[in-house]
Amino acid sequence: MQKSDELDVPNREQVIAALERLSRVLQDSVDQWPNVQAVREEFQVLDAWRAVVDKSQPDSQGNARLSYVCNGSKPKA
Amino acid sequence: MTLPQVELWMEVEPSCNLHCQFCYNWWREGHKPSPLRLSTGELLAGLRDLSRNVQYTSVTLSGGEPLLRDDLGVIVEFFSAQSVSVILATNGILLSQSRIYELNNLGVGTFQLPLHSTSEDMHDQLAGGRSWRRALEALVDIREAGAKAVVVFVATNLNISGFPRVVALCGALGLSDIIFNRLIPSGMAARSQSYLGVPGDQEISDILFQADSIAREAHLTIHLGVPVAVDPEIQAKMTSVLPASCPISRGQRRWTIGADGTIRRCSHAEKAIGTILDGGLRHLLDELLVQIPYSRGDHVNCCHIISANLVRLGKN
Repeated sequence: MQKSDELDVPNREQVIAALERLSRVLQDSVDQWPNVQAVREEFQVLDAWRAVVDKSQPDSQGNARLSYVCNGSKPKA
Repeated sequence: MTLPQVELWMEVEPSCNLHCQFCYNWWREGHKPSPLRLSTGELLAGLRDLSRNVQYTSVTLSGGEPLLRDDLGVIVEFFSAQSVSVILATNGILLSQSRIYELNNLGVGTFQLPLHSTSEDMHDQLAGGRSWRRALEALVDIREAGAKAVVVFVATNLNISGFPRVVALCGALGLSDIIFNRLIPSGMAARSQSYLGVPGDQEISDILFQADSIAREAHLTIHLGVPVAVDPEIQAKMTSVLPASCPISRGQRRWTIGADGTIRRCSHAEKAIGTILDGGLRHLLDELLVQIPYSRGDHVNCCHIISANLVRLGKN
């Protein structure tokens, strides 16, 4: 995987580990949708990785889009 | 001459290295032996005959587990030589990084992998074996190889509430498509449906509505893999959920080919109209060109059994 000038590009193992942690956070939040703080670190890792595999610029708002995925779409009780 | 277009679902390998509780393969119900597998030569000869009369638009190589078949690359090459889009539906256990690159170079453009939960234990319970982590690794490897990865989710009463979280995880992976299937009580699923449970239409509608907003933000499309009677009011509000239709119809384009060469109307059905090595081809062409009437009896497990079960359970 090529290196980004702006971000440390995570390697395969770091990406998989971030996905596993994110899965646990999502799964642990049975009664409430997880808050952004709990997953911020995972989003940063995955955002940097996706920017490389998709050959695109990292999200200009950091991880705003993925944050919204978890923070802005709360399932009904 | 313009040839009729056909989309194939090919069960190239009947055996599998998992024991998914929801598996709809008809030979997994336990009463009948698995279909025999055609040799490479027989299979390619049948497909070659068929291709003189129809145009393949896409093919999905499935099973069982297709990666258990040693000659999978040869089959992929056959289709890619005809510029046919090849999709590989696998559980991911045998999908190493080198295998992904090899198959992608041969012509597999899309890899379909299961992800039934963000919980490893739930996914592995449904899959009947340790496979969640391998699926996650394979999804990362597919993305890094520059191929397309599509996640398949099978909804049962045990895992359906977690679907929005699976969508969120797919968003984090940067996927663009996810397939949502409801448990079809045929094959192994016919035996395990009482404890897995078949979600009703209203329950599915509510979950899809939750998932739709997440999918929209993550730029994901949710494709229904089987017909679901989504609440019309909810359907009208959703922008990222695409409905499905039953493939069985007059002049149908989607056909299933078994490992033994049988030609079937639906992957959930055992009943065959013939094989690619004999008169099945003629029957298929009659369907495509003349549009002969089809029998209601050809709607086998999917539509009738589900609706019967849901009525019995008072869900619809």
